[in-house]
This record gives sequence, C-alpha cells and structure tokens, in this order.
Amino acid sequence: MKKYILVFLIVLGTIALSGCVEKTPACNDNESRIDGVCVVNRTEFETKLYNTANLDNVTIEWVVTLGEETSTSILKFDGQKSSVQAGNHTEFYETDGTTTYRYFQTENGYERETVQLSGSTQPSFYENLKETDFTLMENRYLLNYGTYNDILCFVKSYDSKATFSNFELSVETYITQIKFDILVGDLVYKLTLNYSNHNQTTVEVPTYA
Amino acid sequence: MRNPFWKKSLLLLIITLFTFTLVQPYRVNAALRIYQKSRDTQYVEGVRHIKIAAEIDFNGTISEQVINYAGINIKNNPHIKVVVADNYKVNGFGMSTVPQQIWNIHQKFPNVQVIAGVNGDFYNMSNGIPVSPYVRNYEVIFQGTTWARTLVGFKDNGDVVFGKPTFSGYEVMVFDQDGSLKLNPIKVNAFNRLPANDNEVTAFFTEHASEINSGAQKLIVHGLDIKSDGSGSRYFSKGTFGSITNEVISVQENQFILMGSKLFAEGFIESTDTIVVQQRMSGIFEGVRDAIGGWEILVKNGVPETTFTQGASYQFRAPRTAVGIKNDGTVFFVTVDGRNMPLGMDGVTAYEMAEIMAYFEADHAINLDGGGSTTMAILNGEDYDIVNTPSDGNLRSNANGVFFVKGNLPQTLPPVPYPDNREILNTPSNLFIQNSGVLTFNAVDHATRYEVWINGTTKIDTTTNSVALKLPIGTYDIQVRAYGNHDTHKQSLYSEALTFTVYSNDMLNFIDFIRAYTQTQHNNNQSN
Repeated sequence: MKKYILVFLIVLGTIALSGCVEKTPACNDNESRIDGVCVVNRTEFETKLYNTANLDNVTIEWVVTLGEETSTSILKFDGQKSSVQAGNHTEFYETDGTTTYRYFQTENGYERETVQLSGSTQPSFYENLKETDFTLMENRYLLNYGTYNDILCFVKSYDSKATFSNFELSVETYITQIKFDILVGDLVYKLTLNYSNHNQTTVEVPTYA
Repeated sequence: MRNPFWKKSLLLLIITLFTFTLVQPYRVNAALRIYQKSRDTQYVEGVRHIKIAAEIDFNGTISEQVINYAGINIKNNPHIKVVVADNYKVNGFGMSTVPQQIWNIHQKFPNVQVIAGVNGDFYNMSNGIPVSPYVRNYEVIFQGTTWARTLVGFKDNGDVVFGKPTFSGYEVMVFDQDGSLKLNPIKVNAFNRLPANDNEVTAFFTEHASEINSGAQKLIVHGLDIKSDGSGSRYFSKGTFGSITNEVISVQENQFILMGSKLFAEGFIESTDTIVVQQRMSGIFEGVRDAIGGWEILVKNGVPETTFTQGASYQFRAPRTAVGIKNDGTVFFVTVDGRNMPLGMDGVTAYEMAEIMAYFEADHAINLDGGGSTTMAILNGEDYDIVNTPSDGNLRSNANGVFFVKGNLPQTLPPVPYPDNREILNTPSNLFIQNSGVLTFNAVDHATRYEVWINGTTKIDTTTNSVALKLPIGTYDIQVRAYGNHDTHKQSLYSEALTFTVYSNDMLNFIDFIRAYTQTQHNNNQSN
C-alpha cells in the first residue's frame, strides 16, 4: 500500500513540476517574438501604415471629384470625440463610457441623439498592405496590380459593385496622402485623402438645444 | 330690252350706282391700303413679331415694303419692361450697334433678358451724343441739345408718357450705400463758377481749366461717370465721396467739385454715399425710369399726322423706325426697310410711316432715327436675329436703342429722410439650409419682408423666414437682409454669408458614405 501511495505521490509531483516548465508558443511565419509576445514583422514603411491606422488623433481631408463636381470633407478624430464636416453640414460624435452621442445641425441649432455603433471593429483598408505591394516612384508608393481584399471590402461598403484603381500613398512619419479612384459603373470618384495634425487634432462638441 | 322688267332693273342699278358715287361715308381711312404678299407672325416670350411683305397704296402711290412689328401689352404683362440702352464709355458717349446694346443690357442687368429692340434717337454721328434728352435707369444721361422734339418715357409701373420734355433744373442728388436718395436734393445754381452767396451751390468740371480760387469748402468727388457734350452747360456726373478741402485746387481728370455751404450739413454727404449731378425731369416725365427721343410725331390721339414741316427727311422714302403706344398699354416698335428696291424695300415717307403706325392701331407714335440706322433685333434661342434688312448692308453703330426685356430690373429703395433717425432692423441670423434646399433664418422683429441674395447678384423676395432656394449644382454664398416699414424702420445689414453647395445625387450618396466612415472610425477609436 505504501508503495502505491509513494508511486502516486511521485506521479503527482512529476505532473506538478512538469507544469512549471516554460513552454514557448509558436508564432506565425510573419511574426517574431518580442518580450514573449508574437509581433507581426513589419518593415519601417509598413509600421508607418499600421501606426497611421491606429491613430486616434488625426485630421483627414477627403477631396472627392466626380466629373466636374468636387466635394471637400474634413474628418477630425480626437479620441472620444470626432467630427465630420461633409456636404453643407457638420456632425460630431462623442463617446462617454458606453454611450455614443451624435450632434447634428438643425434650423434651431445643434441637437444631440444617442447612436448605436457597431460593437465590432474593422481593420483599416490600408493597414495590412505590404511594402512589397508597392512600387516606389518619386516618393509616391504606387500599389501594384493584384487583389487587395481590405481595400476592395472598403470600396464595396460604398457600393457592392464598386472597384478601385490607381491606389497610391505618400508617407512621412505617418501617411500624409492616399489617392485612389472608386469606380461604380460609369461613375469615377477620384479620392484624395490628406492626413494632417497627427496627435494634434482637437474636437470640441457644440452646445445643443 | 323691250321687256319692262329689264327696263326697271336697269334703272334701279343706275340709281344705286349713282347713289354710291355721290354719298361719302362718314369716315374712311382711305389714305393707306396694304396688300399683303406674305405675313409671318410669331411670339417670343409673349412679344408678338409680325413680318409683312406688302404692296402699299398711299393716296394712289404704290410702293413695295417690308415691315417688321414687335409689340406687347406691358400693362398686362408686367414681367416685360421697356428699357433704353447704349454702349457709352465711362466718362463719355460713343456709338454701338443694336446687338452691342443688347449685350450691354445683359451686362448691367444680369437678371433680365432682352426679347426685342430697335435703334433709337437721332444723334451726332461723330460722337454718339443723342439729340433729344436721354434717361437710362433713372439717370438723365443727357438733357438733349433740343427740347423741341418728342420724348417717350417708360415708368416702372408700366405707364408710358409721351410729349415734349420739361426740366426743373440741375440737382445734387446724394444716395446712401443702399441706393436711397437722401431728401432733399439740392439745386445746382451754376456750373464752373463760385457760388454767389451762401444759398448757392455750384459744380466744377474739367471745362473749368483754371484753379478754383476760393478758400471755402470744396467737396471733391471721384467720378464714376462724367458726361459732358463740351458745351459747359450740359452734364451728367456720378461719383463717390473723395475729400473735403479748403485749399485752392483745380479740377482733375475724372473728378468734379461741388461748392456751397448747403452741401456740408453734418451727415448729409458721407464717405459711403454716391453723388449725382443731373437734370431733373418734371411734368409727366418726372419719375421715368427710361426715356428716349425721336423726331416728328407720327400719330397723335389715334390720328396719323398729315402735316410735316421740319425734319427726318419726311418727304423722302427711307428706311424708318418708330415706336408706338396704345391706350390699352401696348407698346410696339415698327421698322420699314428701304433703299433696296430690287428686294421690294422701297422705304416710306413720314406720311406713309404715320399711316402704318395707325394701321397697327397706335394712339401715339413717334419717328425714331431711320435710314441706315433702322434695325430690329428679335431673340431666337440664345442669339438674336436681325429681322429687317439694314440699308447700309451692315449694322450701323448709333447712339442708343429701345428694348423689351423680360425679368426683374433692379429696384431702388424709396428716398430716406435727412437726418435719418429711423430704427435699424436687426440682422437676420442663424441661416440654415436643409438638405432639401430650404433656407431658414431667425425672424426679425418689425420686418415685413426679406431679401435673400445669392452670390450678391440674384435676389429672392420672401415675406417669411423660410424659402426654397431651388438652385442648380454649384456653390453659392447666401445672405439675407430684412426690410420693414420704410418710414419707420431702416433695413438691416446683410447677414453673414452662408456658403451652400448643391451636389448631384451621386455625390450626395458619397458624402453620406464619408459620414458613415467617420462613425466607423470613431467606433474603432473607442476599441483601441
């Protein structure tokens, strides 16, 4: 009986001790272990794209040309507050805890309403692009011919029949400009997105009625 | 013939014929017969255009004529106005063709469209100065070298006046920045000399070559338009406040100088005012917006003139232009071509022209310049057709013309008292344009109407603080101004401009997409 108890204790101890042995999780091929964490391998260029996509403080000017018509929209992101000046009106968004408010213009001034935002997040349409996807030409990164699902998914969120072309980037510390065309049937929307005021954008929501 | 029945019948026929021969009707317009070979009628924006090719018989004299008529009842069609036009240079006169005058109307009044028009007054062919008085948009551009000829004047309410011009003398008229005349205008006693006493006001122009040798106050006006025929006695001048000086000065180019203590009452002339020196029309012509002269009355009280003794080469066949008015409010222009007999354009004498104007039922008509000047233009799509055949073989440059226009001519505000102590209305605020294009703004106390200005040129009148703009694709600056009872309240300032862009539906869809993208990004930022 003692032998059985001894063997049982040895087995238990072995199992217990084996649990203390450090096991190294496997990283994917495109990842490296940094401080015990698998981190995607990125070139300096790709890091800039990733960092831009994860900025929560930036101003983006969207210039859209459709034939002879042009619209300019200003998108500002400042953490929990954002604004979009598009068309003839400006809207604001503010998140307080789990509640997000939308401020919108009326003839009586601004009014506020609660909005339900999607719980899921979507990757930016450019953050997973690789440096090898581009051809560098005079400081402009021209996207090579190929299939880029994130971009395609983005343009199809406008119109399920939309495609894109002529995608190019300009990059400094962050992306400074993205240009591309969205094609929907015979319509060609020429987009220029100018990024500025990285980490220096301020949004103040308006007083409301 | 032995049959008594035939004898009686023959006798009855002879008696009947004899009776017709002896008995004259009470009144027969037997002087003119028009035997039309062709007649085309069309309507352009309500203006009736008739073109007639005809053989006319005037007291037994047969001639071939081509006649053009353009007319409309402007009382029943208040959207149609009659205006005069020229293409005078600033600080002078000049000559221009009818199409050039049409172009100039469109430059000055972008909200109107010329429908039809003809050449105007007789003029000095070396400089374009008209012979008779000439009033353009309330400005007495020229007082005329003679007042003996007949003038036709057009008032803003559609009234047409007709007769010899009369004047009450030159005045200094001061208009505030909104174009309101400050009451009351000041009489100008003389030109190019010092005031004789404290009650006199005088004006100096460049014809006064020497210095104005006086230490009294002088108002120097920067000329916007100074017109002189060189006589030293006939002027039109308009300018902006320059400066006031007591120094001895001389008149410089593009300026005129006013003297007289009445001018310098505090606040009467301010730096934002416009100052006009012009003749004041009186009698039936007081308040005319436009007036143009002619030579020889053709029809008076519905009766064609039969006696001509003076001018317009009345006894000779020539191309002729005339303007006629009917008591029902119809105004019409007529041209008759001439000097082109192979094409059946013999031209008419003044006697025949008078009968033609009576044929078109004129109650009054005057003869305008003719000969090679005779021109009629009619709108055709985007362009203008010269519907007659000018006898020079090309368009002659003349002094001025008279035209039917469609649209809103600029309205002047009523005069304002001096000093102006009326309450100023608050400025409209909180301009907002819904996606549907409806503009709203805060109502202003005591306002009775509002003017919505689009790009500073197009005006929409409204009595409420909400108006649908209905604009085509483009970007616009919108401003609003409030008006109240003119006697008690001065109009407000213009509101701050609101920039508004009208987009296509395809662009609007994309703008919605940008808003949705912003929401998504905002959501992503909260999850980071």
